[in-house]
Amino acid sequence: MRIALFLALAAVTTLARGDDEIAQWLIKINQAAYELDYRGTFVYVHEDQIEVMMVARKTERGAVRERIYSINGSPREIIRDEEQVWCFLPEKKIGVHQYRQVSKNSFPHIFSTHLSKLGDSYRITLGELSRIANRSVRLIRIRPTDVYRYGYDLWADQETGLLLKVSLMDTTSDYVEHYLFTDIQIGGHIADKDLAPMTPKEELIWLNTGPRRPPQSQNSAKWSAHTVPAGFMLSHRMNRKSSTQKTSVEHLVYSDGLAAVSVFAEQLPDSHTKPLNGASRMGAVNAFGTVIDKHQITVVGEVPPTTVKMIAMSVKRAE
Amino acid sequence: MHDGNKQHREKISALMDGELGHSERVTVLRDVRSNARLSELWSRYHLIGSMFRSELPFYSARLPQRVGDLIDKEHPHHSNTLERLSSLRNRYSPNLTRNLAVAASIMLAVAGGWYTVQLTDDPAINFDTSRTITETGVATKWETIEPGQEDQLNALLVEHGEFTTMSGLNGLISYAKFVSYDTQ
Repeated sequence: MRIALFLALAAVTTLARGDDEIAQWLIKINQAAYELDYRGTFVYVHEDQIEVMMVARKTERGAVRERIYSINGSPREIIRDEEQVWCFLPEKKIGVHQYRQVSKNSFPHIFSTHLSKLGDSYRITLGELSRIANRSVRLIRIRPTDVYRYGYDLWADQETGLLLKVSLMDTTSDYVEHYLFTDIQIGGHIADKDLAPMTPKEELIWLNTGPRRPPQSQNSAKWSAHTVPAGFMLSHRMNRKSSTQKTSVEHLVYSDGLAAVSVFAEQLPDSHTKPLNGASRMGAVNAFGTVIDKHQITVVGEVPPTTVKMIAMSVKRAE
Repeated sequence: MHDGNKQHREKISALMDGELGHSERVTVLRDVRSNARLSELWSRYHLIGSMFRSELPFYSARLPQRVGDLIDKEHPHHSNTLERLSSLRNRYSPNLTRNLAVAASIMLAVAGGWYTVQLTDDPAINFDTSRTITETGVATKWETIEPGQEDQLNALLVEHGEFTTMSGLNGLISYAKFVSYDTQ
């Protein structure tokens, strides 16, 4: 964490030449997401649907535990710590457990290492003060400087920096998703019961996904994207093996600090499934597939279709 | 399952239980390969089997919904999901799945993950049934996608989601998407 903070502070020094207050806000938001304990209710609005959920987060002796659960529709909840995730589906009498792939140590790195360059890719301005969930919030408007990424409106808690509302907008400035807290308690005592599942684990049949994944190999890079929008940098590269170790998927993550794009390269199976060739879309998420040297290349991210296509078409085997 | 031919179902069941000889196995697998309905049935058996062998990665809250849907199809006469699960667990528990020691790799992309089912060492009868794993109880949201590709894209999306979470801004957002999958 100290290293991450150092990187963030080093980055803000650069960004501060433009607007110190904005940079401080971005740092504050980043730290709040990582460090704060809270519990509250929020709504997630997407397309024509509204979901109401409760969330609780608590750090104890350096270990984070989080819980999110739906309060309308069928009961669904997810409990997560830094290494594992449990999904409770009590109506089905099923629970699913898995080990996470991402180390807790890698959490803040994307944001902090890119912070100094955000100003190249986005026009960031501070907006007015307003009130959300009975707390004072500051609006931060983030608008892309090109057509390769989406825009954001962030409403951050004035006192702590925790995001209390996020709106994502597409390239035509139409909002496509909103997240909004309707009530929240930040800090203070988060009771253990707030992080406990509604349904005892022993009442469910658990589908476990086996042992944690082996360490990711970093030394077998075979693919890379040769054209990415300005500001995007390779932030992660890993290889994932199938359970029989017969096939592998190379996964590269490019990020500009806010948006992230994944490039997946996998050998085409001897199958009837037609490879993905071309574009696909699900809400704000776009994907583009192509085939190179008997490998399926798929690019996925919350970025405009132009971006995933451009990246996919530039993927080549590493020399 | 209701629409599966009883004879075919029994053959697939015998294949799953490792009760067929080599030539019968090849014949049944060829039938499965050439018949979309059998292929779907085969895929369904393997999906459920994998659940109980703990082979299937968890990717989203959507996955259990899919399992439930498959179970509802598979055992419509059982009175509740738990009963169905118990029945299926008995059928597909590791001690009974010697069938899976006999075959080579079939790669399935289901609910956000790849997993491999061992079917035969004979490369002549390897095939991929991922095209037949389709959503039936959950609305499809990917646009312009062939059957089977949607599952692959869901898999990639959730893998990708772990990294958008790391940006700090999107941690909450990723959670919300997972939980809301179930109702879409």
